[in-house]
Amino acid sequence: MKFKQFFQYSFSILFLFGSHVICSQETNLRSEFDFSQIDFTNDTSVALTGEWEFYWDTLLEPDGSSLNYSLEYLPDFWKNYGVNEYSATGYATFKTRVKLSRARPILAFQVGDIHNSYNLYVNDKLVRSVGIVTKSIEGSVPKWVPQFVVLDDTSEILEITLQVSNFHHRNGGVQHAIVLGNVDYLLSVKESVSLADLLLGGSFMVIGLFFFGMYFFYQKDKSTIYFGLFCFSFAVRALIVGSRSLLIIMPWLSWQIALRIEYLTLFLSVIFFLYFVYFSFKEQTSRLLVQLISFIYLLIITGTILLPASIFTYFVIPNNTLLLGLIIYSLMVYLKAFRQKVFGAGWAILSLGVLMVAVGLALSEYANLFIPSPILVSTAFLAFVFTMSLIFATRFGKAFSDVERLKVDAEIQNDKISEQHELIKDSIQYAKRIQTALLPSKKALQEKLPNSVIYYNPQSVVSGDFYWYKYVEKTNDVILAISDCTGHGVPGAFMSIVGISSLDKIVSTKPNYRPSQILEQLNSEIRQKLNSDIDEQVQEGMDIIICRISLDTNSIEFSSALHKMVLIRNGEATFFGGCRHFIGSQFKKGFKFIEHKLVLKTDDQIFMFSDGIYDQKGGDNGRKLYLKGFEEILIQMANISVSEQENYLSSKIKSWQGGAEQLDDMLVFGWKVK
Amino acid sequence: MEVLDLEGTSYTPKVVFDLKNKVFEITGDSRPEDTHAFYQVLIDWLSNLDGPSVSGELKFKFAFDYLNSSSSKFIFKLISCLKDLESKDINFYIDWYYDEPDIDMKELGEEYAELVGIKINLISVEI
Repeated sequence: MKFKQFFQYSFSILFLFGSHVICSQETNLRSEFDFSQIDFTNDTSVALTGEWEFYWDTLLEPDGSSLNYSLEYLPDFWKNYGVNEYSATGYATFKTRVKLSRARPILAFQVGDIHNSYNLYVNDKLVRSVGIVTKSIEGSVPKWVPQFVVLDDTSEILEITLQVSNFHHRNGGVQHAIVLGNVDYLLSVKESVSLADLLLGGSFMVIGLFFFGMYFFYQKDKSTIYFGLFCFSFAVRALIVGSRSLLIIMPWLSWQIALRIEYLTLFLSVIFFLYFVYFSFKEQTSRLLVQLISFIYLLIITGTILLPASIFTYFVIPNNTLLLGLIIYSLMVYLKAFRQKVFGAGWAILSLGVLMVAVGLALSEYANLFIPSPILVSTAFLAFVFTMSLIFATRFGKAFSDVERLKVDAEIQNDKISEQHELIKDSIQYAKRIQTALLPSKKALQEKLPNSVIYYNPQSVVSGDFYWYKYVEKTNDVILAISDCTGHGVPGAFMSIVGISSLDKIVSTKPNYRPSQILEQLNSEIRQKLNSDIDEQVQEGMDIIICRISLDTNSIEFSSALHKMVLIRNGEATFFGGCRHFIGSQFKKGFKFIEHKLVLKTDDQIFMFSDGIYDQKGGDNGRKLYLKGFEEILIQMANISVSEQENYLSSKIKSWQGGAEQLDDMLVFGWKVK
Repeated sequence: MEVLDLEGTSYTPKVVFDLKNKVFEITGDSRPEDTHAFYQVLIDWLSNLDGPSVSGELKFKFAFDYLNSSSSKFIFKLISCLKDLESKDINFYIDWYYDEPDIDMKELGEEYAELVGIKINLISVEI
């Protein structure tokens, strides 16, 4: 943009109106601007700033005349003329004369906001009409759109007549000076102002939309949505004030609606900014204060929507006070956050500094200090929003690097866990070898006890279920135990070792013990080994059944702590329950294990087992198999040859279990009499 | 007393011990990795029940679907703890639920009643 031109333009406005003269005609002073000595060929413009003839309550035609006028300064609102003489609403005519050199390039007028409708005449010709000028509110149509009027009159003296009426706004009169200048120059100025507004509006809108997107994907941080909303409403405001680009794009927007948008976007920007500060620095911001300001703005915004413009335009006064207070308060919040080392607080403070510069630039025009380039002002506001967005940038940057660090930490931990897991797995695998070595081999058992079958299926690597046997040569008996220790896996396996060693000890010293005697001895051995206090109820122990099979007579003696024994004879199952004390517990006084004795016939089959199979969940409903379901399987099993029984049972369990997890160790012993 | 409210998992049962509303329930599967740690919390809670603060009759509901062997040992201890409430003059009764075909679960209830010397109502649930 042509900055040089801008400064020329600025200074021309400041200094060239010195040629304004007021000359005497008859008894009254007349208004006249003498620009006949000004060369408009270069980038030159002048403002018609100074005293005009002001005809109150009159719509004077260009050829009409009246002596009932006063000289008043333009630009200004007529309520400021005289001493409270003129009400805000009403109608009036402004008149002046402009003297120009005959030798001049094509000139144009740049007309800003005039409250709220006007007709502009040059000599006798109506050159521009904005809104509808009336003498009463009926039929009056207000409108604000900057106008560019090319002057086709070549006369030396231009008589300018400006009819203005206002029935809608709290101010009536001419807000911005009418500027006269070289047409090319004024056009370039107009373009640069539009460009500045579009740059500001467009950039803010894109930033706003970006933060909407950010909120959409990460709704935990509410500051993003408020920042987006702040940018968005600021963008709309930038497009509707100044060169009023939005009204050029949407000419059908009525003055009332456009004015409401202008005010609403201002108030909403403030409230969104407040919430942005609140959600960005929640711990440093007073919730009560935020609620109070929100409530005030709720009233202001509701009023703006519902009340007429002549009232709601006053809301800008409390808004300016609140806004100033808010900026000071947010500075306090930022400083507090900075001291507490909150991420992004430094950028927040800087953003306020940039805002001050932007506001200072914008205000300098009103204070007549100098007129900054519109682009410069827009850029300052953009810089403000950009530094604000850096608050997020630093936070996200930190979040990303935190995530990366956590990822690295997690990987290290993962490796450690994998390593530990491998070590534990290895040691359990080794434990399994020991446990396997402690358990008798199935083959050895089948040698001593032909037609027997063992199904042994631990839930994990090592098992809490165990089986044990001893052949007593002297009597040609096999003593056999099927046991389920409390717990499975490693704790179960520890218990199984205690059980196995105790049984070995008992049976090798007392080979003639009956099963019930072995159980009693086992109970005291285990309680002793676990150092159980007599008074303390111990929960560790085992359910176990012990049987003594006489190979000479095919008879079986058994005694059980909680385990069952099943006899299948001619396709029918008979259950024999165990005693209700488990091994490891303190027995009631006088308690004795019950002992059963069965004399078996050819093709009879017995089964002993832990609860792992019938408590396994599966089937169509994920229920347990229950003893009932297990009984059916056992009856079928007894029907087939012993060599196929283990595979049969295994496939039955697998089909019952389906995809369900195995819940416990499984152990079944079977023996068929031949 | 504070309410004991444990969400059930596939390893541990759901537990609610709520003196104010007189709800005492243990339901679901029980096969914790550390059975001792799990049940000790329940046992401690019951041991801290203060007789004079309890009015009316308390109803304990046990409705297990799956119990591993070590859990059954600790539930024995838990029920023994309930037995001690009698000496604190607390009135209560125990309902033991089992699925109709689950003979083992039913027998376990009977076993506790016999071993602890306490009345347990066995309630069969049709499935």
